[in-house]
Amino acid sequence: MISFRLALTNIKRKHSGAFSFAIIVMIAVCFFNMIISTGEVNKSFESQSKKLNGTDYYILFAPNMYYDDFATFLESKEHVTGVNAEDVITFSGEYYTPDTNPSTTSMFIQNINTERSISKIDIINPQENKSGIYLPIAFQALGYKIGSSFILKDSTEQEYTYEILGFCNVSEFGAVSNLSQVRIVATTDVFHELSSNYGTKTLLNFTVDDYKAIHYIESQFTDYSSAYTSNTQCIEQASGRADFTTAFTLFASIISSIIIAFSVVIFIVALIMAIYRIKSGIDENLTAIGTLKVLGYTSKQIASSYVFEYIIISFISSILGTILSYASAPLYHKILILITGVLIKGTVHIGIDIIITLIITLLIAITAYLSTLKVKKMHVAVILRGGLLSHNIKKNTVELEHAKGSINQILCLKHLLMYKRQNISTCIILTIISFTLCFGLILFEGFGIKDTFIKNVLDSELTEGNVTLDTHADIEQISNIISSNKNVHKIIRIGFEGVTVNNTSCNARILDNFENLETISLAEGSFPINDNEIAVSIHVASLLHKDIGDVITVNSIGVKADYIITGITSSTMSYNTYFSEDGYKRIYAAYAPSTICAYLDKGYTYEQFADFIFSKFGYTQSELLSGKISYDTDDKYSAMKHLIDSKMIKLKQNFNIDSMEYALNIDGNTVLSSGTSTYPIKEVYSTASLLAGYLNIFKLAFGLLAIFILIITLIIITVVLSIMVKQTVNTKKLEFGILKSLGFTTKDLRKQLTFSLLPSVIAGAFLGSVIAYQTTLPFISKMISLIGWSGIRYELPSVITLISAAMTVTVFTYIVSYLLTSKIKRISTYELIEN
Amino acid sequence: MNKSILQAKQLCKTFSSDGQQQHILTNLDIDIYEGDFTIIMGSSGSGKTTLLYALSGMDKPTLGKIIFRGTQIQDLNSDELAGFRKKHCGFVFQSIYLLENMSIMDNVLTAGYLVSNNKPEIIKRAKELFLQVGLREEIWRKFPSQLSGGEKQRAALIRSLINKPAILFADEPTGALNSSSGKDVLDILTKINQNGQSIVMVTHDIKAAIRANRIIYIMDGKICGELHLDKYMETNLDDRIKKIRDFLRENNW
Repeated sequence: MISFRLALTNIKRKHSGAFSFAIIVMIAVCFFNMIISTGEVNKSFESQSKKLNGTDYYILFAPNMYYDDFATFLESKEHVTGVNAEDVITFSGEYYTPDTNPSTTSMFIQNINTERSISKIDIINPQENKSGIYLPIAFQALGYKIGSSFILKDSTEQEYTYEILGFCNVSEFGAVSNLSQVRIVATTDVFHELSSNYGTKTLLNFTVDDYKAIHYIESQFTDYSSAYTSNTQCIEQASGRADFTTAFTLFASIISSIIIAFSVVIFIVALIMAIYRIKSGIDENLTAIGTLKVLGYTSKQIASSYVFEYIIISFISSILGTILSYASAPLYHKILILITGVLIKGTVHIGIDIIITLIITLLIAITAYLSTLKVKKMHVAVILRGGLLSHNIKKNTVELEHAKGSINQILCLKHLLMYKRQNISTCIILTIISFTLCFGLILFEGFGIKDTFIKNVLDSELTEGNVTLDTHADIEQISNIISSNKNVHKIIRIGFEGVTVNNTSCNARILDNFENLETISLAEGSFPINDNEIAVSIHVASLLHKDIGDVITVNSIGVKADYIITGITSSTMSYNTYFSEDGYKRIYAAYAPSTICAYLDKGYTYEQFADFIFSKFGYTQSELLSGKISYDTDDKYSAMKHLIDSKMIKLKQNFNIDSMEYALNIDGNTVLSSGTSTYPIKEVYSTASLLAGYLNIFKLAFGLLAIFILIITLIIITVVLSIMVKQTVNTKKLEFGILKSLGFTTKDLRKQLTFSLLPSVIAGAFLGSVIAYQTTLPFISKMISLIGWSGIRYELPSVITLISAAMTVTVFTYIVSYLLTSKIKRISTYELIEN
Repeated sequence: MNKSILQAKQLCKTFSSDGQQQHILTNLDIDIYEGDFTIIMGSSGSGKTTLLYALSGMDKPTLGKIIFRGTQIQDLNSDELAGFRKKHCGFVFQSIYLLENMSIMDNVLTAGYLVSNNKPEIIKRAKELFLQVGLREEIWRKFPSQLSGGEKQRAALIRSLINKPAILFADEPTGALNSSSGKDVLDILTKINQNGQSIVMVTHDIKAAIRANRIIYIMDGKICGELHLDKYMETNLDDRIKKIRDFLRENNW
């Protein structure tokens, strides 16, 4: 076919331009395919969960709070299909290897040899007769290696080192950190070593045949267990599949949103470049087109050659983009595994690939067709005249007679004003590219550097100095002592309880002073002041379909009371509800706060605070249990006291004993005495460092994403500029030849060309950054809300981010376009003129 | 005899393409004298335009020397050659090559501002030259596409003269013009030569050749013959034409 042959000739002739255009289309197609991979996260999660019989609901009990009757209760419930209880160790602290930086998280540690029918663990290549631990497969993506040492360090600096024996697939909690727990599987000996120091708790899992029944079952269970144990704190933690699944998929969804936006942006750039290339190409080749028309080619045949040219390029580059997406899938999957913990098995999806290829080719073909309509309208004579119509009155944009500045500056300005279409195209493309880069930087800043998002998700008050109190501790006295520390600028007292709200299990957070809060923030309304008021998280409000002003019924071990919702906090994940102390006492009269949170002055560290607590109250219960306390080896009673006291505290914790005292009498003399009252402080810890641990993961993930976006943006800029600059040099070859013949140097011409692009580059760069500044975080927030996470709060990006993105684009564009004009250098004046 | 201002010694120019070589100029020696109107003639492909481009610094010779007022220019780099061209050369093309996107006044001033910062003086000179060549003020701000071929070529001529070049190079300046316009252009060239402007012109046209006082004939990249004439005068043209025809016949024109 004539048009097809013409198209092939055009491609061969302008191969560098075709190649550059093909790269843009290839990248766009590659990204479209990556979206499919991201969508597979949910599928992979579901399939893994099915394979390992993942739990529908888990309940973690406080030590010695589990009874077999609980499993029996659940088994008797309609819709419950399976129940499984096992002992686990919960560990909060740091983990690292000799090659990695410490990360802070909390963990479930499970025994590899425990029989479990729910939430099974699939060990990949188990090693027999060896001692050590198995990590979720996501750790492999972080660089953890079999045979390396894995170090656990608790808050008392106690370290445990184990060999990494391998990796495992788990149905949940397999991400490196998914804002709740990480699972680790230990060999029996390791499990016993850790349990002897930290004790065990019972993890109860159950599955249902109808997930809609979950909330009803769990609220009944909460009432039952609280009444059974007469303890509102018998359940430490509980969550259903819908909630911990969303935690995994949240970030996959964020990444999907980003990639979708990115793909669309790149595709728009491709379309603009197609229009630009075609229109410039037509202008450049008017004589050739005129000659073809003189020879008898129809407008349709000539226009079709352009359309075929772009169909061929788009089709081939779409196929290459698809291949590229499969080739880069392992790396991309690694990033997804890192963030979600889900092992994604790459699948081939030829059907979807074909559809994407056809759609992209069709859209580009339509664009090409519309761009060639100009050819149809022109008569042969007009074409051969260079496109000039008979009454072509031009305007002299800048008259040299009256212009100021050097001749190079004036010619630069003339070029800028003359080539409006090119300038507008440049401005639009640079706006899009700058938007993309700024988008990536804002994401990195918003999710990887600033901590507002994480704080809102965690819904915990993050303080450096947290003091957990023994049940009989004198709270007032301890509060006063802590407040007397001049490096503590304020404190709050907080209690952690479990309640049911309108038959939904929730966490109760009871505070003496909401005004001091720094981390937990309200989305709307106010914290409770009166005792019949309550604040709830967005998640709870959404589950209960309640809003500010609505009344809810709160139940604690059979005691009910109504509360008016006065405030909704920003957390989209937690089941937290907030009470004043008097308010909570309406349903639990014996309430006493369990923790004092101290806000430390800047420069005053957690370690210094811990030393201060020691100086006032002696060892904490957890320090006593850690076995790291030094004692006077010459004093036998000192050693004896240490041994007895640590056993006493262990008994108290493991058997939920209220208080104990002892005395050692020898020959009627009391040589030694102590009691649990000697240790009023259970533990001192920092929750602020937990934030840093979570933030590191976000920093890594979003940092990688930002770098990736930066690299792709710079590639796109280079490719786009290579098309535009080369096109311009070709178009203006004769003009450059004339100017060179007059005595303009190559450097003059290169500067003229590059500087003439600069105003539209700067305008586009800053416009793109401003648009990104205004829209990025609201866009992500909207995308996240579509999967049920509403009310995401974030800080506005800094202006420095906006300026950095715009400056990077501008400077890089200038440098690349100047380098690309080096083509002018290689062509002599004679060759420019004679072409 | 006038002083030589531009010399070429053993000039060679070879073009290579797809492994094939074309020797256009072969060991050519030529002198250009101050104040002369030198015409280079020859058949198609003889190397006339190539010689013109080499002498004017628009192209680099493959071998040989080009000396302008004692300075060798063949080894100058691209930017140095640009400097040489803007200060010492003016060029008029057969295809005229005005910049289409600016008025003819701007075309002239583009060349002028490149050499001098004294804009008022350049503008004044441009206006004088426009009037000298018969271009009225009404058309100074018109674009090349709005003018006839003769008007365009006269504008191009002004552009080449704005910086008072030592030598004006012209490549078939009347080739694309009708006879009336062509005569106008030749009249201008003759007049400026009579005022002392050195001109080197390539042409096929005998009507152009008669304006010269020196005609060089090139064949196969070498100079085959040279004819010296008196300065052009409108009288006694038949004798002039006969001498030129005889010269060309001798050289197998």
